[in-house]
Amino acid sequence: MNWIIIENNEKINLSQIPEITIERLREDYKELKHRVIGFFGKNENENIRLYVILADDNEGKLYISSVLFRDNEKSYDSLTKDFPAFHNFEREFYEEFGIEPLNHPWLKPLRQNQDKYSFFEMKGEDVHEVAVGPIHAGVIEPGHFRFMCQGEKVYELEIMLGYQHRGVEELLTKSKANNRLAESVCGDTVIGHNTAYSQVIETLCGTSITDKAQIIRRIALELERIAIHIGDMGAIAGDMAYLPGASIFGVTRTLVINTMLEISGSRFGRGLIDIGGVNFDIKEEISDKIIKMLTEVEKTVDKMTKVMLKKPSCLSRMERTGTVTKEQAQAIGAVGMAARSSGVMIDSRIDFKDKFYKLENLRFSALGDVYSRFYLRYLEIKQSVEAVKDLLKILKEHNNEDLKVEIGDLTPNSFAISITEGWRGEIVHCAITDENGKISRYKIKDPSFNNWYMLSLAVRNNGISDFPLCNKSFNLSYCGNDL
Amino acid sequence: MFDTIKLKYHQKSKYIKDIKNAPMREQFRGFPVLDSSFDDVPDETCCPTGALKYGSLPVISEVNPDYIKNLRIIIDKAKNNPNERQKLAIGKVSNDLALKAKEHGFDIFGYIHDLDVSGVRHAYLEHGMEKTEIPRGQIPITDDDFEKIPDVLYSYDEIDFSGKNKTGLDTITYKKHMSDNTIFYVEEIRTGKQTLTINTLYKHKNTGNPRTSVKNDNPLSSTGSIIISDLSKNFNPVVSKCEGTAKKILSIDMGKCTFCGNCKCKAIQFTNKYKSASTSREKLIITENTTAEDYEKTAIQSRKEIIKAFSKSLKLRQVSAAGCNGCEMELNACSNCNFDMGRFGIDFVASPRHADGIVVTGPVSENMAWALEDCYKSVPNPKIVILAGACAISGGVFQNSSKLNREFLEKYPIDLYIPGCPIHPLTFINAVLSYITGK
Repeated sequence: MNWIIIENNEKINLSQIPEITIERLREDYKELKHRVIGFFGKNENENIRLYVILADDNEGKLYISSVLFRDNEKSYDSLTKDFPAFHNFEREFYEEFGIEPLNHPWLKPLRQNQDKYSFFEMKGEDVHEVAVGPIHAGVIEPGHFRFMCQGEKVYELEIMLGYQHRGVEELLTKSKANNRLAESVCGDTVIGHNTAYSQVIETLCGTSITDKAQIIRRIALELERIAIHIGDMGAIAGDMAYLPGASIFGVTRTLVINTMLEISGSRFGRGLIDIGGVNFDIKEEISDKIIKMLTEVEKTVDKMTKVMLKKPSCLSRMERTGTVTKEQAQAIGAVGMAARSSGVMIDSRIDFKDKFYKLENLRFSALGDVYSRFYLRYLEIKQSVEAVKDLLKILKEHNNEDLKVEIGDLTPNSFAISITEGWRGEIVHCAITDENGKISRYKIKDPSFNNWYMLSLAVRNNGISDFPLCNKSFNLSYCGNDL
Repeated sequence: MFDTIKLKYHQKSKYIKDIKNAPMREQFRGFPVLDSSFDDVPDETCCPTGALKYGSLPVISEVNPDYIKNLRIIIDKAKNNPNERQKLAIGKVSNDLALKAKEHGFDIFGYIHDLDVSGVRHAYLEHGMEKTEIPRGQIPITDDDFEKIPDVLYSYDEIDFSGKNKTGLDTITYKKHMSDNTIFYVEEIRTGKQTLTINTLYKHKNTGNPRTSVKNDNPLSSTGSIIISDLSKNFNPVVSKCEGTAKKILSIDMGKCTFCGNCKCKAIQFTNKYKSASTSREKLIITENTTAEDYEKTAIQSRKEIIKAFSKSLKLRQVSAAGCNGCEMELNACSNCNFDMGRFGIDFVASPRHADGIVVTGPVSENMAWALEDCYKSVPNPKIVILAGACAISGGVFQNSSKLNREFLEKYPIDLYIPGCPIHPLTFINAVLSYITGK
């Protein structure tokens, strides 16, 4: 047995995790054709153990195994050269533990030692470079982009991140419960990251929370998706200089986040979720308000999208701009909404068993361009509106349950994993406890970690002036990548 | 002509009235009101950032943390190589002191207290020898006395602004009753380099009649200066210390608070009041004596220069120094159709060269420290610095991280603190508007 197969939100003992060699991993990965969602190291006395987690999206199972690097083993043959999906994972592993993946095509610093970063260079007549960042023109997070252009056309975009590195994973190992920190991993996916964090800790404690709390968490998650997607559609419109779109989507988003404020006291749902359940109830009267608000929001979004997609000037900016093909997306291991817009239908709400969701994969012609990403957002908003309405109906049946349950102690020597579909894509949180029942390793994988390279592919052979549009259509997180 | 147009449209008083009285949903967790007469005072450990304190009042230190460590170097230099020039920063000038100086006609906003070799040397030569000091009724100063300087500067009992030194520079004299029954004087000179440099220090025994001894010994008194008594500190310091230990004080530091509401109990109530910003870091600490009305009236202290330069138009450059995108999204929301900050002449611009100041969000990671400083230096003078969100003000939930470098915030003067996690657009707009209009 090379792999142990578990489900989402399941806890196993560390001794149950098999040990394989890196060659075995290479062959199994090729054979199983599963997606890599976790690849991180942990110190084990003098040795380093590398944990590998693969996801089987068809069956909804997770495959876990480990590779042990002894004291004297300081390198291995890189996996990235065969499977590009590993490229960021291997860079991260090298940066944290110093074990070098030989022949890695892209072994550059990821978050630390930025002064050692060496950029690719392109030489020739007509060739020029444009460097942008870390501070950008808009009110956004910092990151450095370097375009290698031939005339107006972008030949290659190199993205250098790491400016946001705050040591989140290290901080999360220091305390048993720190939901406020989990919310700040990525401030636009407050509910997504906090749900994943809470689920991992609850799994490690062996606590099962009430159905009512589960449903409220999912309602909040869908409201977050609706709010951010509307905001992004507004931002895309703004970057095309179509101001009616920017204004109307902007105002519509405010309706959603203000409803979130009525539920939880914060516009982004901070303070709503805690380990053990939720802090605020959705009562009958708020439930009615949500339904009323969503009906109005859906109407406005419908109307605005229709108007926008009739404008030739909008369509010409969006269609066939920033295309990422299905093959490319699959090869680099793209996830979430961005991957779905390229036709890779993975959605952890659907793929992994969840008794509260009744969702189906959306059907639409996914071409991987800005238009697809815009249109998919529109479809997902409608899907989420329905999902929230459904969830509110089920919530009524669980009216008498508690909001919060007491949690026990963390189980020693255990490993737990939790996947939550945030609005960007799957958020993976893993935690490992030591023999005293303390968290000794915490690992977060934000969807942006997989998807930044997609942006790089998207702008190839596009005009440099289309970059802001491409960037907004992905709206990836800097801090989710840098942690 | 253009001025009148601006007045008419940009800051139409109706708009200002609207935004100042904008309604807020009652569920919003804003300004906290404390009342420790209830029994259910919450456990400090429930607070994720340490904003909640039940005990002695937290002290916000603006003192250079390396002061004591590096002091010996300066003293050695003063004794052995007096011709070498070296300076040591003691700390930033507190807003309270700056406001008080303002009343007496000089501006020391953003100044730094510092100590240099010549000041130390002067203190030793003039006030360090027994044979000169004892006839004056003073006690010769020793090396240890220099360590007490920050204590005197930041919690003086009396202060005098009216002195001038030989070359005509303004001097400030601080006076403090020390616990060993002596009275300590520190004299500072206001230099042209935005510093208040220690000129000299001396001390004498508290004879119970300090006024007369001041008259006899204080060289300033001969020039006919008046000692201005600081009313807020006008009590016997020994008594207040006893009170402090006897009664525990409940306080919330809004600069650290994430407004998560997890300390929910009767003693702490989060109101839906959103005007929680302040120009002073100390004011952000809320105790049971603070009411929301008083706070709103006194928290933002503007200055004539700021009003003159920025009241009609303020362009800001935002720097996200490891901010989680929460505050950034709210700052973006300030410019949307709901809040429309542009109608007050406040805008975010693309380049620091176009800006009148910077807005910092996030706890300032090591990797962003240089970019933040570069950006600040690129903004032309006069400029302001606004800290938005708990992370920027105190480090927030990231305060224990080893990957931060918050030197920038210690080095440069901060004009406005806007609490929240994330900040609410109404908090931001109202704070900036009050600051630039002075209303």
